[in-house]
Amino acid sequence: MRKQITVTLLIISSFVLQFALSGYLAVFGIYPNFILAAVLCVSLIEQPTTAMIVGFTGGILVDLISGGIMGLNAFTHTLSCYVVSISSTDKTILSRWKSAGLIYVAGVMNYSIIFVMLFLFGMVSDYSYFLRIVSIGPVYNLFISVLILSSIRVAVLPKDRYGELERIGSFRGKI
Amino acid sequence: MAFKKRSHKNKILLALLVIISVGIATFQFRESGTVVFSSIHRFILSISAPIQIGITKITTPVEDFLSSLPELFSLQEKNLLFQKEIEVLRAENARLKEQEIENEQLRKLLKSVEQTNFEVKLAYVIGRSPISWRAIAVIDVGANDGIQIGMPVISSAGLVGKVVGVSNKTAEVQLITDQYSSISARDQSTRAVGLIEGNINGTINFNLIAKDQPIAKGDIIVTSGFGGVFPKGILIGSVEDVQDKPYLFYKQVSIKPFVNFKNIEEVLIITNAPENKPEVEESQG
Repeated sequence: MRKQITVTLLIISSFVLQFALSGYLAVFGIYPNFILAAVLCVSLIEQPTTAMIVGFTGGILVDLISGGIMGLNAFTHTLSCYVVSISSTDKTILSRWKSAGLIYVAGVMNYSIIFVMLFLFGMVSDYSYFLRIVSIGPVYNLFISVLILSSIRVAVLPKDRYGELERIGSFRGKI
Repeated sequence: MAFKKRSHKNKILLALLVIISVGIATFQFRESGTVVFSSIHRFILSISAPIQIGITKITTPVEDFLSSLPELFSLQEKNLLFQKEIEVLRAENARLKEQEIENEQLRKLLKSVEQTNFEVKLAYVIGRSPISWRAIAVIDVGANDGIQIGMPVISSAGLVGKVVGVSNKTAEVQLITDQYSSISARDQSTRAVGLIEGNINGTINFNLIAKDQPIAKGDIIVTSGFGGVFPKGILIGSVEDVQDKPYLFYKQVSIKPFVNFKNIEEVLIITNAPENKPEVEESQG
């Protein structure tokens, strides 16, 4: 129950940050995606089923505040969360750097799919902007993820797993 | 075995969520879908308004201070430039007043029904689009102030966009730089008509200009009045670059908007935009 409440609160917080703050934090015209960063962090430590549902919910919220094509972000966020989750759960416990790398790759994938879809809908003709958003956006989200990942792990993971992570130096100090 | 079963279950869930996403996108294109999602979007807009107003109040003084820092050294130089500009504008103003009187007489003569005095509502920008590839501004007036979807939005420099979403206390303005924005416009000097369309990178183009239509760098682009949303004659921008490639059907024209969308703070919403009559315009043009 604690886990569900934590994840729900995390998504609500990232949602509020997204519509309230992201516009003021543009770097080279690219805004951070707090929601994507949050759902990817959850996906790192959750089973694929939960990760996909969290990703889908986050994506729908992004669609609702963006006012663009509904379902587009739900689709990309679900896929990104699925990829992150199957790459991390049940195989190995990732260190923070590996986690960060995975989040970066998922971010690139997410933005790339969005632009492929927008291109198919005939809405993208400027490839330089595409390159800019694919190169800056995931880095921006990566920084947010690194900042919040430890807190999410502490809040979501059971104590025994948390101890395991601490033992391999996955967070606190080393990372 | 258990892992395989779980993996199979995951793939089914993934397929299901992808189908739902595509289904939502398809549903949105239908009229009934638009109503459902726009209601949710309006609700989100109304709950986000107080937060955005609060953040704007906090960030505006900081932004103002930071933006004024680099200008401190060039203030004297700028002051002289502005003085000269005022003199030029005064002379131009006198000339325009003369023209206005002349125009008024011509209008009376032609018994034109065109309405030129707009009723406007002042609004402050309190938020921006939360997504990189949309150019949307949130303003602090809404349905309670008589704002409706489709109303044109201008600033002292020229056309800003149109209202695309309204809640009780706030409204969303689609800027002309938005990739979904498309406005009928014309070259003020050559009368060439085309479409002003936004790009994903925040620039605007003057599209559908046939190769035989004359257009040159520096030409002023204004709204044509076609389409019934924007009154004609509102300033949009000036022609920055014209490319005439032999393998394209139309000229490629990029426009530099008069409005500085990065620092826009105050806008005016035209609440009584007249219904345009292209036939009348054509005969006048």
